Amino acid sequence: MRPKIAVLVAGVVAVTAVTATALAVTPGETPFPSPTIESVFVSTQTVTGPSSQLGEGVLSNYYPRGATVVFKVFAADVKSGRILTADDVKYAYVAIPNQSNVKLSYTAQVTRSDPTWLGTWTVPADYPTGLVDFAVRFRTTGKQFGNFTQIPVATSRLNVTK
Amino acid sequence: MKRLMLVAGLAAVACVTVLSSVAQAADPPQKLDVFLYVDTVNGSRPVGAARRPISCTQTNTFTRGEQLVFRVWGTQAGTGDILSSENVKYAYVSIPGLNNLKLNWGAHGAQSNRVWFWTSALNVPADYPLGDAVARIVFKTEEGTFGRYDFAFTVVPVLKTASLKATSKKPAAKQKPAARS
Repeated sequence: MRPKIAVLVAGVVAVTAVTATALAVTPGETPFPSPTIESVFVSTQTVTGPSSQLGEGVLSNYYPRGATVVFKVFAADVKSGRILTADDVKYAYVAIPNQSNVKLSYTAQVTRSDPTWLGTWTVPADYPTGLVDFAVRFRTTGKQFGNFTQIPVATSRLNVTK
Repeated sequence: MKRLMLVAGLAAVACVTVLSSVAQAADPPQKLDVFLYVDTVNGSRPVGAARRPISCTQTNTFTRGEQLVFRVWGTQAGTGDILSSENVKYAYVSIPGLNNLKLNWGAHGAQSNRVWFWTSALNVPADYPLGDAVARIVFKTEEGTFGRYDFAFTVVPVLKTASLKATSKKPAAKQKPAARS
């Protein structure tokens, strides 16, 4: 009799847990990038380099071959809310298809909305034109991981032009 | 002499106090309650300017009459929950000289890969001052925590590069200026 009760209780707990999880996300919605960020929040913008026709530091996702893409990155520990500094991070880089990883360097914030990590990539003259499916990856010294991927709207993703 | 030294001492203390408070106000926080990603794209329906060849490209440079669309997503510190209509009390964009823009939670992207995030569109008024401006994005969660993000954008008379210029030289219908606060 006891094992049956235990199984029944376990079943009720499982159903309750599933229901609670389901209630945290409205059915039919797919929040970007995911319903929860588990350990490290990472956000990234791409802005123009100093030699751009648009001027330096202009937000853009279209870059001709030879242009410099500046990655402006912010990262924080989700659980504690702490903004990650160089002391907290084992590695931080931008992964670009068919390219060496672009290492990110820490730079202290001046204002609340400043990025804390910077990296630059000069688009090679022979790099294929079209979408660049880059990702930004962090690992903390406490073995927490975080990633950034682009919003899946094709015209707003990093794009290399002639 | 004593009085002079006293005045000088008080002045020094006052100076240190002022400098200290200025430094505190300028210091960025080391912890946040809410983390935000913010960008802006050119909207596909400008009412006071011609459409650009490609819509929804990331840019923070706009002409008057163009449609500026804020795209935002974020998460709560502690829980890691993504910000959605389930846990956000209100969310808006504050732009100098304009009424606040409400941020809306909704689906975007291709039909086969639609994702949800926050957006708000602004048709840059025909009389909006040229130059740099800063929009402040504000979120208040149901838990009472706040997220704030200052986003710099620029209003220019004309776009610089050919690739970003509008396809039509003929401007669209004259835009009705947005209400000022």
